[in-house]
Amino acid sequence: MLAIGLSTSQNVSAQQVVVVETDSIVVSADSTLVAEGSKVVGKLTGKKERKIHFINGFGVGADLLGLIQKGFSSDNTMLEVMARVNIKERFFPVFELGLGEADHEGRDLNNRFSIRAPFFRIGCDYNIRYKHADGNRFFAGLRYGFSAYKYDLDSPDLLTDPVWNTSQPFHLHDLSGNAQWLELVFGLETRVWSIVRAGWDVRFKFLLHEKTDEVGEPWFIPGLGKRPDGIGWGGSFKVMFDI
Amino acid sequence: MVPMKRGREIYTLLFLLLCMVGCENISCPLNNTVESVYGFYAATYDEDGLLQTGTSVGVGDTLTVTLLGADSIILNRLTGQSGMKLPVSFYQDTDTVELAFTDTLNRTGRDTIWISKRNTHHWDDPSCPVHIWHKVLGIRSTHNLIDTVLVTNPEINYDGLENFQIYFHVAQ
Repeated sequence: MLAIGLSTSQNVSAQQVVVVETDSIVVSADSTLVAEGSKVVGKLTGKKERKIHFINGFGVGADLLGLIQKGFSSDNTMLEVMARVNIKERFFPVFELGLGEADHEGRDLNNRFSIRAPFFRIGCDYNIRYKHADGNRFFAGLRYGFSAYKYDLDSPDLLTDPVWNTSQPFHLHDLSGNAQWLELVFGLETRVWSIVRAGWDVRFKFLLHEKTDEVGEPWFIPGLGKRPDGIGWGGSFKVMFDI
Repeated sequence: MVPMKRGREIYTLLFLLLCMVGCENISCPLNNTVESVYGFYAATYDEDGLLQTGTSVGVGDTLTVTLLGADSIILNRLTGQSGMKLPVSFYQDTDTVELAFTDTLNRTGRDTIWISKRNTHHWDDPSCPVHIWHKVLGIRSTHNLIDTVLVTNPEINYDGLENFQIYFHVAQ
């Protein structure tokens, strides 16, 4: 809908009238009602008019969930940063880069799995609430993720052949593999203050392809998390800065 | 101001996420005995002299199996079976299997099978026991009672699939 205005409403004087709707954003001058003919289309809130450009800005941020997990001495963490482009407040192409690590000891056994490798994701979010310029965004998005890694499996115990009665130590290092996966992302974010934004998302993860050492699959895949049994899931809690 | 309301939602969901991160599901295989699986077959040939595969038989004689180096009899006086399962050494490059067949007249015939293989560690999860899996590289045998040994599945693990088919001479 193109611009509309009021000049005859009983609640609004001619000096208060502004263009209230462009391609997607409702903006206004004060707290009176705006109507198109007899139809009320929005409430004037006192916000300043803001023009939406094709490239409407850039953002950078970091996931705090990994830092929190690391603070709680979790045996696996993913630290990641992200950068994105704001296209018309609607599309947000995003690149995420991180470091995943795990140092996990098996339950009831002394087997220890360890891994530390980078990962990246690339994708795009769609802001379902793009018509509302209240600072909140509701996203649905898609990511493609990739990580190439090396992992170790050790045990302080000897592995004994019960029939031939021979034993050998068990240290498997630099087993290599890589993985590709897709993530469906759903999230919310809001402006906290000035250029500072915060938001969370939940992600459903689908392993597309994996190349592992024949010895066994890694317990943890950087960027994907613990090996999913079917569809995996995860989430993030990000702080971002609009630039 | 909207951010305050949204902020409450954010922290609630963050808490739920942290709680769910703590869940863990371990699925170790219940049947995890690594064994080589043998099937017994009668060696019959067609007119062109080609081995006819797939005729399973029960061994009428008493079968005793010894694994060289293990210093113990693995199978003792097995009768009427159409196959057997044997352990495989963790670390040897070649396993030697000695078969002794004793008939009702107490006559014993012997054969030896040599299985060359590559041994690899295998794990499903750090919380599960580590196993040794094997890939068969080659097999040969003596031919007193055995006609032919075929490798039908070179991967020896705990899936229970038949790895070897032993074809015995058929009494005319």
